[in-house]
Amino acid sequence: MTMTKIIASLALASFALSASAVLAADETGESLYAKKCATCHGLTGQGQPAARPTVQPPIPPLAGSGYLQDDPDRTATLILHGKAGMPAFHLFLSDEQISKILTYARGAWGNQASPISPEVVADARKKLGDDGFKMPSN
Amino acid sequence: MENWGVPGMTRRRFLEQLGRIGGTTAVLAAMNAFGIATASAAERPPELRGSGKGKKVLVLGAGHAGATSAYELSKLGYEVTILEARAFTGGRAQTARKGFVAQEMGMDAEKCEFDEGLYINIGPWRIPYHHRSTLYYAKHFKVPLEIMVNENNASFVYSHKGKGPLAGKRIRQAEIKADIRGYSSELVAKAASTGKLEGLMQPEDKEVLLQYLIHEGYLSRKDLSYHGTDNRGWKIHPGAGLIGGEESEPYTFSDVLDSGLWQFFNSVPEFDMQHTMFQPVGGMDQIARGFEPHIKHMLKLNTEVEQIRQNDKGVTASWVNTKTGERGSTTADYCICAIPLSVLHRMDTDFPAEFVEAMEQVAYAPVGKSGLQMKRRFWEEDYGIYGGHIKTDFNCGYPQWIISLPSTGWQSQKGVLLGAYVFGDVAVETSALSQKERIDRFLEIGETVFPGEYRSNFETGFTWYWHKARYNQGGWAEWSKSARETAYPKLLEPSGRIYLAGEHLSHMTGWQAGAFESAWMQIEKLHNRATAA
Repeated sequence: MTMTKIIASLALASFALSASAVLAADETGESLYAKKCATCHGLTGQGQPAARPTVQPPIPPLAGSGYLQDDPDRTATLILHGKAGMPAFHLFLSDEQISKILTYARGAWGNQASPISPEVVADARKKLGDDGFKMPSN
Repeated sequence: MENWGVPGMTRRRFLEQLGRIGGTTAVLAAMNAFGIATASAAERPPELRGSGKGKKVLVLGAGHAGATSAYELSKLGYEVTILEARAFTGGRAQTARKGFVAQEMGMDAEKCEFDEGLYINIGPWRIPYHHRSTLYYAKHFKVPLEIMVNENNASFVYSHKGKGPLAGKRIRQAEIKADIRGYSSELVAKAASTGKLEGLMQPEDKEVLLQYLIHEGYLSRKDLSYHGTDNRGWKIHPGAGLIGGEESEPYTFSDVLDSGLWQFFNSVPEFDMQHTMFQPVGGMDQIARGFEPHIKHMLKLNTEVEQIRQNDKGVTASWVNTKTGERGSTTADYCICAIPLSVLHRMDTDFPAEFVEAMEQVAYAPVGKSGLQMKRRFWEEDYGIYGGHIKTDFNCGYPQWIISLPSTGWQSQKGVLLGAYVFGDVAVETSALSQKERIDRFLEIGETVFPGEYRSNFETGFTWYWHKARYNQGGWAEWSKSARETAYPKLLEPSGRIYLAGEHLSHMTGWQAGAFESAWMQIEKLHNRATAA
């Protein structure tokens, strides 16, 4: 698909972020995680299990994840930009939403990493500039 | 369109070859026929000479890229084995119909309960006229095509976010198109005729511009105003005898502007979305069925690859049959690996770290679709809408939720419409719901546009999310600009004896043409190397 256009002009020019990327008053890190992440990563950060012991789980657990608990900038970049099976959320989540989600996941299910501020996410977003994917239309 | 820098692949090369055979006239005729920049870069498989006899090729994945590689290479004499994890071929080019069972990760298996003969394409569903590679295989395998109605002026637009009296109402697309263009033409025409465009255009062009605006906007020649046009639809349709018809009234310019309904239209639709649009009769999976008789004998279904190893002599895939538990391995001289990068990057392989890191630079799109079976084709019977899309500004990941009406089974009793095609965070969010909750959410949107009709006609639905499919983990590859420049080129080259193929290695990601043409690109590289050795 030519990753373009109707939508580029619609979603990108008129709105910085998609309609739902505005933080509702009652949104917590936990509720955002449940809505935006748990379908793949599991409500308790358990990921998706391997079909059998001889293969990797298709989606690794976030509980106990070194990657998640390590470098805040790298983790924020991952959510914004995606990675292999992981979607890119830069059009769909605000800095504040990502900050809440990451802060929650880095402190839940036995994880013990520091919170990530919206400023850290904003910096990561700034570094990416206009490098993100454009909305598709096939 | 892309030129991969591979000899034999491009339209230009084709034209050059044609020039040698038929002379310049033939080249010009062909250029006029399909235009140098208006069709996919490759329209037929590369013409490969020499034989692959005595050499083995392992193909991983029996989606379009894998099936194409296997089919074309076996014609050259290669001994091909295809390993496919699913129980069927076609990869994402699937059609859900009665009895189709699908299993998302973390969900109960879902069985499609549509009536016999009804279906929904849960993967690709459109073939643009310029995707010549897809059309090539449809023709080659004699898969009958029909028109997929991708634009329909009689269909509705609906805005719940707009302002003014037109918001929250379903309105025919023709009315909005006629009115916004009519009034805009009027403005420019009046500006031109009163000297306000002086300095902005050549004075001698003004008359022609005025003629154009009168023509474009159906303006009155007398006062250069837009007073409506019967082409936007009739209030009372002309009929027999004394029924002369009554013209419809245009909406006011500010009402149309306030409604935001103009946002669904451009001067021409996006190039990939223009007519002529096709679909295979009976479902998109008919293309995969076309390959099947030719690749059946080399195909192992239900065979999930667990490990890939290679050395300077060949490639070995270790696999398990997920039905019988049987284990085995297959070795070949070369491998075409058509497994999505979202899955491949986490598999047990001995690719160099740099190659795996390149795979990880690409994001994958969360995408979901839902087919809803309606017991009566009320959109046809009550509104005269035959195919096309109801366009709304509900959020589907971006503000353009469509309900797409089936381009098949015209005027029959029942129909399956596409009740949801969702992306981004909306795909993620709705995929977290149960099947029943998902369908309820989709019915709610349809009920807003067709109150009293949508829910009451609904019988059974099927929903499917590609990011929750174990063997896909996403609808298609999404390359950022920088990853296209850095990681993408690395993956176009083989890693040792393994060549990657699939829509992810094209600039037509998410389209079947991307899969076909990336396979053509890679088998040519493989064949050149195998025959040079």
